[in-house]
Amino acid sequence: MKSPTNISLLTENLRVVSIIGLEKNTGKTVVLNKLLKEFGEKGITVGLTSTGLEGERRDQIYLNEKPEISLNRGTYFATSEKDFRNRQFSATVIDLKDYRSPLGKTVFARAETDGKVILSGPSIFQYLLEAVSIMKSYGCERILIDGSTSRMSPGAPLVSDGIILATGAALSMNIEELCRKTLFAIKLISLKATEPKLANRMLTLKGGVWIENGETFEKLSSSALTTSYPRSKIAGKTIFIDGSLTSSVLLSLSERGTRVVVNDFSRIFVDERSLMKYERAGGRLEVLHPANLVAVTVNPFSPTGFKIHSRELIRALEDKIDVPVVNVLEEILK
Amino acid sequence: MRDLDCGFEYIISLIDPITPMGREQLRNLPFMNSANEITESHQRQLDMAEKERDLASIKVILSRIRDIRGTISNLSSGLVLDDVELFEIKSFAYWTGKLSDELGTCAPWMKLPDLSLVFSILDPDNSGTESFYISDCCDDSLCGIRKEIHRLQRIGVEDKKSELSRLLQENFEIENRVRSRLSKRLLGNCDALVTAIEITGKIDLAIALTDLNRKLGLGKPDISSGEYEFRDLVNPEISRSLNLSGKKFQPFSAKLERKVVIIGGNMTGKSVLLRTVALLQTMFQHGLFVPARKALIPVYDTIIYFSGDKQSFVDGLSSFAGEIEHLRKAIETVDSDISGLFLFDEIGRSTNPVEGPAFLMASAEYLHRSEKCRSVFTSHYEEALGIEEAQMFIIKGVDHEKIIKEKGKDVSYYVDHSLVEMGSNESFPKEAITIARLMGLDSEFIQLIKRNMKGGCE
Repeated sequence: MKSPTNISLLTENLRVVSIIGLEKNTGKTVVLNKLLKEFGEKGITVGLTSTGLEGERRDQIYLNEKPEISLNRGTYFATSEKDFRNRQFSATVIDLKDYRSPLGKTVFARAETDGKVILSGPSIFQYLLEAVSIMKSYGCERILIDGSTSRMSPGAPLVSDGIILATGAALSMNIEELCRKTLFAIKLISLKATEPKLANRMLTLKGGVWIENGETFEKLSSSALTTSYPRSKIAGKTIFIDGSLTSSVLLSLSERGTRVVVNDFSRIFVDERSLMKYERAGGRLEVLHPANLVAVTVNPFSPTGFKIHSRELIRALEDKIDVPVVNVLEEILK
Repeated sequence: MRDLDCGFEYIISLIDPITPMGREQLRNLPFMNSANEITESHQRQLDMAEKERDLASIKVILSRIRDIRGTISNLSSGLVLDDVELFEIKSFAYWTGKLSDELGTCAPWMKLPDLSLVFSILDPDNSGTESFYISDCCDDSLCGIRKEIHRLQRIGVEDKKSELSRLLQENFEIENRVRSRLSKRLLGNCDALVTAIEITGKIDLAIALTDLNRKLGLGKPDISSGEYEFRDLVNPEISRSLNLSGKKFQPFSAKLERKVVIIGGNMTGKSVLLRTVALLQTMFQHGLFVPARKALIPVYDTIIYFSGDKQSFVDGLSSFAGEIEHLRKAIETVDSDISGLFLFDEIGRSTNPVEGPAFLMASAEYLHRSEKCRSVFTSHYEEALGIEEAQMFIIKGVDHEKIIKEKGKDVSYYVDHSLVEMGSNESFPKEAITIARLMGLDSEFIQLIKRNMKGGCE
């Protein structure tokens, strides 16, 4: 068996790392606490925020006990007024932002003693970006984003330098299916970047669907949701979508040699079957801004108490991908 | 008076204060019927315009100032404030201090109360920053307890758990006592804080108005004791939409007596003029600068403006009922001896041409009875020429020479919107057919109109 992994080593040189869970109870918080602990031991100043309601003491669906987020003294964090008031440690209030949330304004603070907190930072992407830049201005050497379940936006390369993907039995109890679903997510996160020369030209295109036409791009549709395109026109062409990519749009662009490009993986809302059909028809999918997947973590326990054979799953994943796969309970919790 | 349908809401929508306090003052901007109040508002804008060079940095500071009225109300009702609330007060004192420094020597109305005592109460470490923390020096026992907590947390010994939680509880209780002490000490500063909030709002609004004045090129009006004069009056909203279609608003200039009648053909802009005068007066009485190169106007207790366009529908009245309603209010004003400006667009038009002019004649006579009131009527009725002692204006209208010289232009090209006082021997303009033809109405139909006119035309 491998020795316990020092997961913070995997994130070296990455200032902003987001931890994304494919499902609730996939062990995101365990990973986060481990990272916080390791950074704390190295004396690294950490900033912490989250999207959505995270760090709640009990899982909101299954009511299982969840690991809380443990801050070291000196850690900066962003959370809602309500959750800040419920903390059990001394803290300095540094700023208060009026991001709209049902839990009140967002407090930016620094822990003055160690303690546990419920994290509920801003969810709206623009505010998340701002929160991260505020943390940077405080001098945080590392910023961790606790992503809300199955939302990919915190991982967008625009905000994060790296992603840790958490998966596990909560996603499926069938190893084959769990493996397939996880590999699909990894595939989207790892989509290749379009060559820089062409990508630079696409960066300036705003709104809707654009098609390459010789040296220029012309607008095919002003809405990214349009689903009818003349087949002859799109075959073999590069098509750029400034917006979200849905399954039906991707299928309507299924032609031999077609290349669809989107801003980054967080804009893709395509199911596995549609992507497969598109690729079988001879299409390619690329991004302008590639993401950096740092590691995949696996939680063998499902929230209902079932445990899968993690060794088998890890081996299956390791065969297909070239980033480290880590078992949160056996390796991290040791 | 804000609900007058004269485009005032458009002007308000262009005013953009930064703080919630400034926005609230804008929302509650009162109708001012005292010359002093209006003069003070003008003075605030002039004072602020003098600070023009510093406005950018003042705005940056304003954007950091939060609305802490909720916290102040908790404080003044004797509640113990929590860390977030104490931070809010400290941050407010910090930024209003910066604002005060940035304003430097300034007019008395923008002098902020000194909140340095508030700041120092909340800055026990003399850190000089906006951040708030119940630091070790807030209580004699805090330092020792926190050191021990830290030590126990670092060694993480299982059997010390109960000791740790006892210390955490003690730390928690001491912090609460500190919060309570701080809240009590702040209590005496509530009035100063409330005043600072109020003044911050005033400064913010004055800056927003100064920006508006620059953006729309507004000028300070002069307050008269009765005269009514404006030069180069424009309507910013209409002017903007004309500019968008490549046209220009032709400004109005006039000196109005107490009983004014304005006539003119269709499309000459009588209604626009009346609407713009209503806007001028409304902006003036909210303490704003006005869209005219020069304005010398008196303060009124009320403005009654009947445009007939859409307000009656909104109120659920027929246009005639709306007209009567406005007339009734104007008559009440005359009878109750308060001052009023009455602006009636084509009174009597919504009824038959026999009774309609009689409404106009009667209004002109009755509303003139009070020395404190001024009425301006526009009319299509030829009978208007017979109104006694009225100052008659005509809007020039169609330029017939231009029609002969240049063909094929948009109808607005041929219309001159200048307002001129009428000579006694001038006749009433009848240009409906000419205008209709310029607008491209079917020529056979035009012939049909002409045949139907009693007494021929043109």
